[in-house]
Amino acid sequence: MAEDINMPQMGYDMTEGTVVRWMKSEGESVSTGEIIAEIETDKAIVEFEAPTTGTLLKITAKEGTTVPVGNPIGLIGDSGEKIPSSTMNEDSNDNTSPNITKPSPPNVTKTPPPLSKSTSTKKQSIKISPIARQIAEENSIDITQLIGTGPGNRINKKDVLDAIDDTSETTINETSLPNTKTEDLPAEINASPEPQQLDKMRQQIARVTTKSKQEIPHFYVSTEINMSNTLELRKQLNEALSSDNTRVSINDILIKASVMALKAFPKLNASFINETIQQHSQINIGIAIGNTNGLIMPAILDCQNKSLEEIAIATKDLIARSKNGSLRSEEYSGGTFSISNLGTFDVDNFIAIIQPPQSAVLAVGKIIKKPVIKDDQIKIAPILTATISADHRIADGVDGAQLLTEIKRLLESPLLMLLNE
Amino acid sequence: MTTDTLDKTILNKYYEQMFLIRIFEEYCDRLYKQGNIKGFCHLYIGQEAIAVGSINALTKNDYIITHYRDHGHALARGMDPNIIMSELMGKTTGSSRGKGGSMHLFDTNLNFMGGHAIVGGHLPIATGLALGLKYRKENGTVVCFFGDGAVNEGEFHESMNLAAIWNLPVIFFLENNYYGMGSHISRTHSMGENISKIADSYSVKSIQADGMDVLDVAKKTKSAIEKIRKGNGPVLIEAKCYRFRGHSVQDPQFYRDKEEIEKWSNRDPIQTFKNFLIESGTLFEDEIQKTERKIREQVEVAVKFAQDSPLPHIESAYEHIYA
Amino acid sequence: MPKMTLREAISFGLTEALDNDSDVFLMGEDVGKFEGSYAVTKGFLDKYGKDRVRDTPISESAIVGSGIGAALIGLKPIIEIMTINFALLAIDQIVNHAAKLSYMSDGQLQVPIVIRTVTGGGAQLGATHSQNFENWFASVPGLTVVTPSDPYDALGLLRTSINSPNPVIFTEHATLYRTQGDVPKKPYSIPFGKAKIKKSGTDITLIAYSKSVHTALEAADLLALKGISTEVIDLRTLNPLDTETIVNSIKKTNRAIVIEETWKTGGFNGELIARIQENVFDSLDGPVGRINSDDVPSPYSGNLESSILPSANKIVDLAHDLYGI
Repeated sequence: MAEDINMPQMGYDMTEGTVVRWMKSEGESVSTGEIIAEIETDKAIVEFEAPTTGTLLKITAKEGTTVPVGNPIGLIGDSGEKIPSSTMNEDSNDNTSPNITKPSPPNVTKTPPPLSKSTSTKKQSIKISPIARQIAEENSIDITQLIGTGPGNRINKKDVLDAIDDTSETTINETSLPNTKTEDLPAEINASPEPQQLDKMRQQIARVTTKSKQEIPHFYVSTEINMSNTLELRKQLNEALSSDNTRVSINDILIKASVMALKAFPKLNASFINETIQQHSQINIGIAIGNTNGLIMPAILDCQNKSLEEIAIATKDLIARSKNGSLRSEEYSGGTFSISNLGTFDVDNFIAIIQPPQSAVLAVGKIIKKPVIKDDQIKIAPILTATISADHRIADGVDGAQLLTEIKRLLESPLLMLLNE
Repeated sequence: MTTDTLDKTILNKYYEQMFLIRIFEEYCDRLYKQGNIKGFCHLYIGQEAIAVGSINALTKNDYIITHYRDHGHALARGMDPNIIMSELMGKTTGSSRGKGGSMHLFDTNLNFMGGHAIVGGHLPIATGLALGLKYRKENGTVVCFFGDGAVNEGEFHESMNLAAIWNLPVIFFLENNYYGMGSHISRTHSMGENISKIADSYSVKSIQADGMDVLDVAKKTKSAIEKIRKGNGPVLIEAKCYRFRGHSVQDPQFYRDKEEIEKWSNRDPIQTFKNFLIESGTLFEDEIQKTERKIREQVEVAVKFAQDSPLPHIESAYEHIYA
Repeated sequence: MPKMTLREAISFGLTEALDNDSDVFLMGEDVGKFEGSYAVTKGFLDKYGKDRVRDTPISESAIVGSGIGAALIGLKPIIEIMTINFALLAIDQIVNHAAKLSYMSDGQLQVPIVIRTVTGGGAQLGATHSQNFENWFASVPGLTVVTPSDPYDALGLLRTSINSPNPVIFTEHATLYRTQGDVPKKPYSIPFGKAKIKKSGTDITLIAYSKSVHTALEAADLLALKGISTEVIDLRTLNPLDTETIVNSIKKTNRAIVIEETWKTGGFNGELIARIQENVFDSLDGPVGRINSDDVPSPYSGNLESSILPSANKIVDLAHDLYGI
């Protein structure tokens, strides 16, 4: 039985080879291991040994022909044996590389993939997030009518949900609820209100204040401060300063006094972290800003280097940015000491909760006219009651007292605050 | 070539195994060229005396770990040729069901811990096998085969040092066939022919064996094992030998001349041993011919077994990634 | 519940393994007489002796390779590679050998070794000693990559690692050894491939592992100040990876940022983002963000190093940039 001799695999990466030279002619006898041809791979010309013993019946790949690995280049069998017809046929085709099939041109479809016309082009141009698109489709919202409020004006989930809210409101107004009688309504509708779920800001305030009160052993020191000199100084400053932008508020002066006091008594400008006290070199004063949703405490950074005027400018800027949502993250988190001022309300005094990882907070109420004794005479003076809440792990009563007394001294002799500028 | 205590049965076994390796490898060459074996295929032709001489000196408790030219060691250790050939053809009846290939033969039942294909990479593992034996206070020696190319890998040096300071029962068996792929040792090692002197640097005892003489290899391996059993730590055996074929089947061998190959061919370990057996009257020529016929048939059976075996199921590609 | 540092938790886990199983032994550079370069094996040599607490030469390939060899005959070596930077000297043993032997032998061989190694930057050790390669190893089939962030997980995962029949890369972040946490007295273990929701939330998902979990938690606190509810997922193991927990979280939050300490290019974050896109693309309300170390060799100077590392502020700012929150 005749056996094909195939283009040998002379390396793992060899895919085809060229017959350089036949060492045997058709009809010659060959034995296993005898060199019958030279094959050129892309690396070298190598000798090719007969895989079996017999007669070289047929050379199907002539010298110079390139043949894929594994395809026949010749046939070995018994002398006089009939050559199988398949080999004959191939041979009769032509004399060039019979086993390389020319690749037929791929079936190229000229028609472009079907596009659903107008909608698909619009889809391309509308920036919308995947979830927003999905919700819009489910609720038959026309996204071309939406204005994206996400970054780069991308329509996001909230935009679509808002649009659904709008639609459903109008729908309810326009159509009476069909097939729904009042008595069919679920009982809950007439029932008393369910407990209200906390919104996120409330959840956060709940979490932080709970954590603070549970973990931080608070202690408190209070004092009354005669604000007459401070009020006088502020009046003079604001008359002298032209720009609205630099008008100084009582709050600004409180900040300045706190900063200077913290420089003199820095113990409470620190954090208690992992059983260690971390003293801060920066003094960043957090100020409590309330709005309808709750409370935030962003900080004015690097107050240790700021003049009263600079503090006034920074405070206004911080409050403005807290309203348009463009506070930076370090302003949210970077406070080292805070001031909470309820002076605009009719509150005499109050105690604030420390915002971790800070270690103290100054709480002040409204400035109230009170009788005071000065030079052994009873006089009327504007009095501010100030209370410091402090972390007992970091400092003791004496430290709190020293800090508060220094604030009091500065506010009662406010020119001291201008001295070092 | 000399022998003193070996009996006829053992000598016949040596011949049988060496001849089996030779014929098996010749079939591999042919099957590779015919496209039945793919990937890399490194033939052991010319080095048969080493695997047969050394491995027959071991007991079943000893461990073997070797390089990627591993068919010879696997056969000498007694792995079934059917299973090996199936692995080479990537069949489901192979030793790793077609997931290892020529360079990665394993049989844990025979403590045959594998062919390993990263030059020098298995030397630290050999050290660890020996550490394991010592930790468990078990008898046994680890024999680790590697080529002259591996001596230039850091892993060789790290392993020699570690085995020496921990006094581990391991034979580092250097099969010096002079070529790391196509680079002659004179061009790649600072000590050239004296490569085994490197053992002195690690206070490791070294022994020279004639890699073309199966009896010498057997004798030297036994003496190394005796040293190790006495608790004297690792031994390096260097056996100089010659790879009659290219680095792998695809190697056109431009880097060496035919005279060199011819010179070594005159010392063909199988032919030399055959002459010795006849001249010493140990075996008669017809006995040898009978053996050879038996072996040829055995290899033909293995080829047929492998060819007739099915390819592995696709799912097996996802098995045993993790134990 | 008793508190432990991460160092104590790992040390406890090793002691327990050495006490309970004579096949377990430790091996590495300076694990014995020096008592561990990060003091994890303090007192071990005296207690267990030099056969079970083996000091090695500085030969990472031989350390890992001999561990593999010992594992092949049934021992359970626990290897210490001093830092993951030095694991590169053993990467041939880890990738070409430990990870392959079970597969190439079709299950005949098993490699039950644990390779403990210290990872991460932030300690001003310069470019060669501050790297993270967990992602490299996680890409190799056959390896298990463990990345605990706290003492509880470290102990639970170490127990699972020691009992695993496969090679495990067990990473310990250099700056987490003093991290404290509750560790129950009652024995427990943590399965591989099960992420942990460290904090649940509804607005955005932060996905992290190892040290970056702490960065993510800090960011969650900052985001909370803006009224944003954050879910923080600790992957705990990179391979196997718990895609399901990630997917379920993003289905809820529609937003995600992935955080890790290695470089951006080729980092594991890329893999996470790809899986997110594959599985929950339609739930996304914007592109998935990633915070990595910047693509520079880690600089020595403290201010330079901290500027290139991930931080909570970077996460908060990215959330704003990507989602307008």
